[in-house]
Amino acid sequence: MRRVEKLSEILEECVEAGLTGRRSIEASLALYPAHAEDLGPLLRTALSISDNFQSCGPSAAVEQRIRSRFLADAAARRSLRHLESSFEKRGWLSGLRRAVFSGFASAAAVVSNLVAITVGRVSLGGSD
Amino acid sequence: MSPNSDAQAERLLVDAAKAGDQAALSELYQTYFPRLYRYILARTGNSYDAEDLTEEVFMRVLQAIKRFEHRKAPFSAWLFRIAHNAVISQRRKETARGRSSQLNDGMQVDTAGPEELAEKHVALSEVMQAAKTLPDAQRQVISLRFAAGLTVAETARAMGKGEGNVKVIQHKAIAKLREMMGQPKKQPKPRVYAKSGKA
Repeated sequence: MRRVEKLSEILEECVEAGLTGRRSIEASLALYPAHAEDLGPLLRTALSISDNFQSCGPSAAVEQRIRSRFLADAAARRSLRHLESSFEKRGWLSGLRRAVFSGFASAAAVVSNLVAITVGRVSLGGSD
Repeated sequence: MSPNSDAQAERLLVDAAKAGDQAALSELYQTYFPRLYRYILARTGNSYDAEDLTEEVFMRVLQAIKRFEHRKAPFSAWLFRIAHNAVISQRRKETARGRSSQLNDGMQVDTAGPEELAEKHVALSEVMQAAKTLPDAQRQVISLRFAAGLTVAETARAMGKGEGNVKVIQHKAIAKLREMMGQPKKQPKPRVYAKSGKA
Protein backbone atom coordinates (compact mmCIF):
# COMPACT_ATOMS: atom_id res chain seq x y z
CA MET A 1 0.00 0.00 0.00
CA ARG A 2 1.33 3.45 -0.88
CA ARG A 3 2.18 5.80 2.00
CA VAL A 4 -0.67 8.23 1.15
CA GLU A 5 -3.22 5.42 1.03
CA LYS A 6 -1.90 4.01 4.27
CA LEU A 7 -2.15 7.41 5.94
CA SER A 8 -5.71 7.79 4.55
CA GLU A 9 -6.62 4.45 6.15
CA ILE A 10 -5.07 5.40 9.48
CA LEU A 11 -6.61 8.87 9.40
CA GLU A 12 -10.08 7.41 8.80
CA GLU A 13 -9.62 4.89 11.62
CA CYS A 14 -8.62 7.69 14.02
CA VAL A 15 -11.35 10.07 12.77
CA GLU A 16 -14.00 7.39 13.34
CA ALA A 17 -12.57 6.66 16.81
CA GLY A 18 -12.70 10.37 17.59
CA LEU A 19 -16.19 10.95 16.20
CA THR A 20 -17.66 8.03 18.10
CA GLY A 21 -15.84 9.00 21.30
CA ARG A 22 -13.86 5.76 21.43
CA ARG A 23 -10.45 7.41 21.58
CA SER A 24 -8.89 10.83 22.17
CA ILE A 25 -6.58 12.51 19.64
CA GLU A 26 -3.64 11.93 21.97
CA ALA A 27 -4.44 8.22 22.27
CA SER A 28 -4.63 7.95 18.48
CA LEU A 29 -1.26 9.65 18.05
CA ALA A 30 0.25 7.36 20.64
CA LEU A 31 -1.14 4.41 18.74
CA TYR A 32 0.50 5.50 15.46
CA PRO A 33 3.75 7.20 16.55
CA ALA A 34 5.34 6.86 13.10
CA HIS A 35 2.53 8.96 11.60
CA ALA A 36 1.87 11.24 14.56
CA GLU A 37 3.43 14.31 12.97
CA ASP A 38 1.18 14.15 9.89
CA LEU A 39 -1.80 12.72 11.70
CA GLY A 40 -2.11 15.24 14.55
CA PRO A 41 -3.01 18.39 12.55
CA LEU A 42 -5.31 16.44 10.21
CA LEU A 43 -7.18 14.84 13.10
CA ARG A 44 -7.60 18.17 14.90
CA THR A 45 -8.93 19.78 11.72
CA ALA A 46 -11.33 16.90 11.03
CA LEU A 47 -12.80 16.85 14.53
CA SER A 48 -13.04 20.63 14.62
CA ILE A 49 -14.98 20.63 11.31
CA SER A 50 -17.32 18.01 12.73
CA ASP A 51 -17.85 20.04 15.93
CA ASN A 52 -18.67 23.14 13.92
CA PHE A 53 -21.29 21.34 11.86
CA GLN A 54 -22.80 19.39 14.72
CA SER A 55 -23.42 22.56 16.71
CA CYS A 56 -25.68 24.12 14.08
CA GLY A 57 -29.23 23.50 12.98
CA PRO A 58 -32.39 25.28 11.91
CA SER A 59 -34.66 26.98 14.44
CA ALA A 60 -37.24 24.82 16.22
CA ALA A 61 -39.99 26.74 14.39
CA VAL A 62 -38.55 25.80 10.99
CA GLU A 63 -38.10 22.18 12.03
CA GLN A 64 -41.72 22.08 13.22
CA ARG A 65 -43.07 23.77 10.08
CA ILE A 66 -41.33 21.29 7.78
CA ARG A 67 -42.39 18.33 9.96
CA SER A 68 -46.05 19.45 9.86
CA ARG A 69 -45.99 19.80 6.10
CA PHE A 70 -44.24 16.46 5.67
CA LEU A 71 -46.72 14.58 7.85
CA ALA A 72 -49.76 16.37 6.39
CA ASP A 73 -48.59 15.51 2.89
CA ALA A 74 -48.01 11.90 3.96
CA ALA A 75 -51.52 11.72 5.45
CA ALA A 76 -53.05 13.16 2.26
CA ARG A 77 -51.17 10.62 0.16
CA ARG A 78 -52.36 7.83 2.42
CA SER A 79 -56.01 8.91 2.12
CA LEU A 80 -55.67 9.13 -1.64
CA ARG A 81 -54.17 5.65 -1.73
CA HIS A 82 -57.09 4.27 0.33
CA LEU A 83 -59.57 5.94 -1.98
CA GLU A 84 -57.84 4.58 -5.05
CA SER A 85 -57.70 1.07 -3.66
CA SER A 86 -61.37 1.16 -2.67
CA PHE A 87 -62.23 2.26 -6.21
CA GLU A 88 -60.10 -0.53 -7.56
CA LYS A 89 -61.92 -3.01 -5.34
CA ARG A 90 -65.29 -1.61 -6.33
CA GLY A 91 -64.34 -1.87 -9.99
CA TRP A 92 -63.33 -5.48 -9.50
CA LEU A 93 -66.57 -6.28 -7.62
CA SER A 94 -68.81 -4.69 -10.19
CA GLY A 95 -66.91 -6.61 -12.86
CA LEU A 96 -67.54 -9.81 -10.95
CA ARG A 97 -71.20 -8.87 -10.47
CA ARG A 98 -71.51 -8.20 -14.21
CA ALA A 99 -69.87 -11.55 -15.01
CA VAL A 100 -72.16 -13.45 -12.64
CA PHE A 101 -75.22 -11.62 -13.98
CA SER A 102 -74.33 -12.27 -17.62
CA GLY A 103 -73.61 -15.92 -16.73
CA PHE A 104 -77.07 -16.24 -15.24
CA ALA A 105 -78.60 -14.41 -18.17
CA SER A 106 -76.90 -16.76 -20.66
CA ALA A 107 -77.96 -19.80 -18.64
CA ALA A 108 -81.52 -18.50 -18.47
CA ALA A 109 -81.51 -17.89 -22.24
CA VAL A 110 -80.26 -21.45 -22.88
CA VAL A 111 -82.88 -22.89 -20.52
CA SER A 112 -85.68 -20.86 -22.08
CA ASN A 113 -84.56 -21.92 -25.57
CA LEU A 114 -84.50 -25.56 -24.48
CA VAL A 115 -87.95 -25.17 -22.94
CA ALA A 116 -89.25 -23.54 -26.11
CA ILE A 117 -87.80 -26.31 -28.27
CA THR A 118 -89.20 -29.00 -25.99
CA VAL A 119 -92.62 -27.36 -25.88
CA GLY A 120 -92.55 -26.96 -29.66
CA ARG A 121 -91.66 -30.65 -30.17
CA VAL A 122 -94.34 -31.74 -27.72
CA SER A 123 -96.97 -29.62 -29.42
CA LEU A 124 -95.87 -30.81 -32.88
CA GLY A 125 -95.97 -34.43 -31.65
CA GLY A 126 -99.44 -33.84 -30.17
CA SER A 127 -100.82 -32.57 -33.49
CA ASP A 128 -99.67 -35.74 -35.35
CA MET B 1 -27.50 -2.04 19.87
CA SER B 2 -25.22 -3.63 17.24
CA PRO B 3 -24.90 -2.13 13.74
CA ASN B 4 -26.73 -5.19 12.37
CA SER B 5 -29.71 -4.80 14.65
CA ASP B 6 -29.70 -1.04 13.94
CA ALA B 7 -29.83 -1.79 10.24
CA GLN B 8 -32.61 -4.33 10.78
CA ALA B 9 -34.60 -1.86 12.87
CA GLU B 10 -34.22 0.78 10.18
CA ARG B 11 -35.32 -1.72 7.53
CA LEU B 12 -38.54 -2.37 9.43
CA LEU B 13 -39.05 1.33 9.95
CA VAL B 14 -38.57 2.08 6.26
CA ASP B 15 -40.96 -0.75 5.29
CA ALA B 16 -43.60 0.67 7.61
CA ALA B 17 -43.02 4.15 6.15
CA LYS B 18 -43.41 2.70 2.63
CA ALA B 19 -46.81 1.35 3.70
CA GLY B 20 -47.75 4.87 4.77
CA ASP B 21 -47.41 4.43 8.54
CA GLN B 22 -47.41 7.95 10.02
CA ALA B 23 -45.44 7.01 13.14
CA ALA B 24 -42.70 5.40 11.04
CA LEU B 25 -42.53 8.43 8.75
CA SER B 26 -42.34 10.68 11.76
CA GLU B 27 -39.48 8.64 13.22
CA LEU B 28 -37.59 8.68 9.93
CA TYR B 29 -38.06 12.44 9.80
CA GLN B 30 -36.75 12.80 13.34
CA THR B 31 -33.70 10.66 12.59
CA TYR B 32 -32.74 12.28 9.33
CA PHE B 33 -33.93 15.87 9.53
CA PRO B 34 -30.89 17.33 11.38
CA ARG B 35 -28.43 15.29 9.34
CA LEU B 36 -30.06 16.21 6.06
CA TYR B 37 -30.23 19.87 7.01
CA ARG B 38 -26.54 19.98 7.96
CA TYR B 39 -25.56 18.15 4.79
CA ILE B 40 -27.45 20.62 2.61
CA LEU B 41 -26.11 23.56 4.63
CA ALA B 42 -22.58 22.29 4.08
CA ARG B 43 -23.23 21.95 0.35
CA THR B 44 -25.04 25.26 -0.20
CA GLY B 45 -23.47 27.43 2.51
CA ASN B 46 -26.80 29.18 2.98
CA SER B 47 -29.27 28.45 5.77
CA TYR B 48 -32.36 29.66 3.87
CA ASP B 49 -31.51 27.43 0.93
CA ALA B 50 -30.80 24.63 3.40
CA GLU B 51 -34.29 24.98 4.93
CA ASP B 52 -36.05 25.10 1.55
CA LEU B 53 -34.08 22.22 0.11
CA THR B 54 -34.49 20.06 3.22
CA GLU B 55 -38.25 20.51 2.91
CA GLU B 56 -38.12 19.76 -0.81
CA VAL B 57 -36.07 16.60 -0.22
CA PHE B 58 -38.57 15.29 2.33
CA MET B 59 -41.39 15.89 -0.15
CA ARG B 60 -39.44 14.02 -2.82
CA VAL B 61 -38.94 11.18 -0.34
CA LEU B 62 -42.72 10.89 0.08
CA GLN B 63 -43.17 10.71 -3.68
CA ALA B 64 -40.45 8.11 -4.17
CA ILE B 65 -40.38 5.97 -1.03
CA LYS B 66 -42.70 3.34 -2.56
CA ARG B 67 -40.05 2.66 -5.17
CA PHE B 68 -37.22 2.37 -2.64
CA GLU B 69 -35.61 -1.09 -2.54
CA HIS B 70 -33.31 -2.22 0.27
CA ARG B 71 -31.29 -4.47 -2.02
CA LYS B 72 -30.16 -1.55 -4.17
CA ALA B 73 -28.79 0.72 -1.42
CA PRO B 74 -29.22 1.48 2.27
CA PHE B 75 -31.90 4.06 3.04
CA SER B 76 -29.33 6.69 4.07
CA ALA B 77 -27.48 6.35 0.75
CA TRP B 78 -30.76 6.65 -1.16
CA LEU B 79 -31.85 9.69 0.85
CA PHE B 80 -28.56 11.55 0.47
CA ARG B 81 -28.53 10.87 -3.26
CA ILE B 82 -31.89 12.61 -3.48
CA ALA B 83 -30.40 15.46 -1.46
CA HIS B 84 -27.33 15.60 -3.70
CA ASN B 85 -29.53 15.84 -6.79
CA ALA B 86 -31.61 18.58 -5.17
CA VAL B 87 -28.45 20.55 -4.35
CA ILE B 88 -27.12 20.17 -7.90
CA SER B 89 -30.39 21.33 -9.42
CA GLN B 90 -30.49 24.30 -6.99
CA ARG B 91 -26.91 25.18 -7.93
CA ARG B 92 -27.83 25.17 -11.62
CA LYS B 93 -30.72 27.54 -10.92
CA GLU B 94 -28.43 29.82 -8.90
CA THR B 95 -25.81 29.87 -11.61
CA ALA B 96 -28.48 30.87 -14.09
CA ARG B 97 -29.61 33.65 -11.74
CA GLY B 98 -26.04 34.70 -10.93
CA ARG B 99 -26.75 34.52 -7.19
CA SER B 100 -24.10 33.74 -4.58
CA SER B 101 -24.87 32.08 -1.28
CA GLN B 102 -23.66 33.02 2.13
CA LEU B 103 -24.15 31.91 5.68
CA ASN B 104 -26.85 34.01 7.28
CA ASP B 105 -28.67 34.69 10.51
CA GLY B 106 -31.49 32.21 9.98
CA MET B 107 -29.28 29.49 11.36
CA GLN B 108 -29.29 28.44 15.01
CA VAL B 109 -26.04 27.54 16.70
CA ASP B 110 -26.01 25.61 19.98
CA THR B 111 -23.99 27.81 22.30
CA ALA B 112 -23.77 28.97 25.87
CA GLY B 113 -23.75 32.71 25.23
CA PRO B 114 -23.51 35.52 22.67
CA GLU B 115 -19.71 35.50 22.57
CA GLU B 116 -19.59 31.80 21.89
CA LEU B 117 -22.38 32.23 19.34
CA ALA B 118 -20.37 34.81 17.43
CA GLU B 119 -17.26 32.63 17.63
CA LYS B 120 -19.12 29.54 16.40
CA HIS B 121 -20.73 31.53 13.61
CA VAL B 122 -17.35 32.76 12.44
CA ALA B 123 -15.85 29.28 12.71
CA LEU B 124 -18.67 27.70 10.72
CA SER B 125 -18.54 30.46 8.10
CA GLU B 126 -14.82 29.87 7.80
CA VAL B 127 -15.28 26.12 7.32
CA MET B 128 -17.98 26.64 4.71
CA GLN B 129 -16.06 29.30 2.83
CA ALA B 130 -13.06 26.98 2.70
CA ALA B 131 -15.21 24.00 1.73
CA LYS B 132 -16.64 25.95 -1.21
CA THR B 133 -13.25 25.96 -2.89
CA LEU B 134 -12.89 22.18 -2.71
CA PRO B 135 -13.50 19.99 -5.76
CA ASP B 136 -17.06 18.65 -5.70
CA ALA B 137 -16.18 15.11 -4.62
CA GLN B 138 -14.10 16.39 -1.68
CA ARG B 139 -16.86 18.77 -0.63
CA GLN B 140 -19.38 15.97 -0.84
CA VAL B 141 -17.28 13.68 1.34
CA ILE B 142 -16.81 16.42 3.97
CA SER B 143 -20.55 17.15 3.93
CA LEU B 144 -21.57 13.50 4.22
CA ARG B 145 -18.96 12.51 6.81
CA PHE B 146 -18.84 15.56 9.08
CA ALA B 147 -22.11 17.41 8.52
CA ALA B 148 -24.49 14.47 7.97
CA GLY B 149 -22.49 12.12 10.19
CA LEU B 150 -22.46 9.18 7.75
CA THR B 151 -19.85 6.45 8.10
CA VAL B 152 -17.29 5.88 5.36
CA ALA B 153 -19.29 2.86 4.17
CA GLU B 154 -22.51 4.89 3.97
CA THR B 155 -20.69 7.79 2.30
CA ALA B 156 -19.26 5.40 -0.28
CA ARG B 157 -22.73 3.99 -1.05
CA ALA B 158 -24.25 7.47 -1.28
CA MET B 159 -21.56 8.58 -3.71
CA GLY B 160 -21.37 5.33 -5.66
CA LYS B 161 -17.64 5.02 -4.90
CA GLY B 162 -15.41 2.50 -3.17
CA GLU B 163 -14.57 2.93 0.52
CA GLY B 164 -10.82 3.15 -0.19
CA ASN B 165 -11.47 5.93 -2.66
CA VAL B 166 -13.62 7.82 -0.14
CA LYS B 167 -10.85 7.58 2.49
CA VAL B 168 -8.32 9.06 0.07
CA ILE B 169 -10.73 11.85 -0.96
CA GLN B 170 -11.45 12.56 2.72
CA HIS B 171 -7.71 12.74 3.49
CA LYS B 172 -7.10 15.20 0.64
CA ALA B 173 -10.10 17.33 1.63
CA ILE B 174 -9.05 17.58 5.29
CA ALA B 175 -5.47 18.45 4.28
CA LYS B 176 -6.73 21.16 1.95
CA LEU B 177 -9.15 22.59 4.53
CA ARG B 178 -6.38 22.65 7.10
CA GLU B 179 -4.17 24.53 4.66
CA MET B 180 -6.90 27.08 3.98
CA MET B 181 -8.15 27.53 7.53
CA GLY B 182 -4.83 27.20 9.31
CA GLN B 183 -4.74 25.30 12.57
CA PRO B 184 -8.08 25.29 14.39
CA LYS B 185 -7.99 28.15 16.90
CA LYS B 186 -9.57 26.01 19.57
CA GLN B 187 -9.15 22.36 20.33
CA PRO B 188 -12.18 20.34 19.25
CA LYS B 189 -14.81 20.02 21.97
CA PRO B 190 -13.80 17.30 24.45
CA ARG B 191 -15.64 14.08 23.68
CA VAL B 192 -16.54 11.25 25.98
CA TYR B 193 -14.02 8.53 25.40
CA ALA B 194 -14.94 5.00 26.25
CA LYS B 195 -12.34 2.92 28.05
CA SER B 196 -12.27 0.37 25.28
CA GLY B 197 -9.70 -2.37 25.13
CA LYS B 198 -8.91 -1.50 21.54
CA ALA B 199 -6.60 1.50 21.60
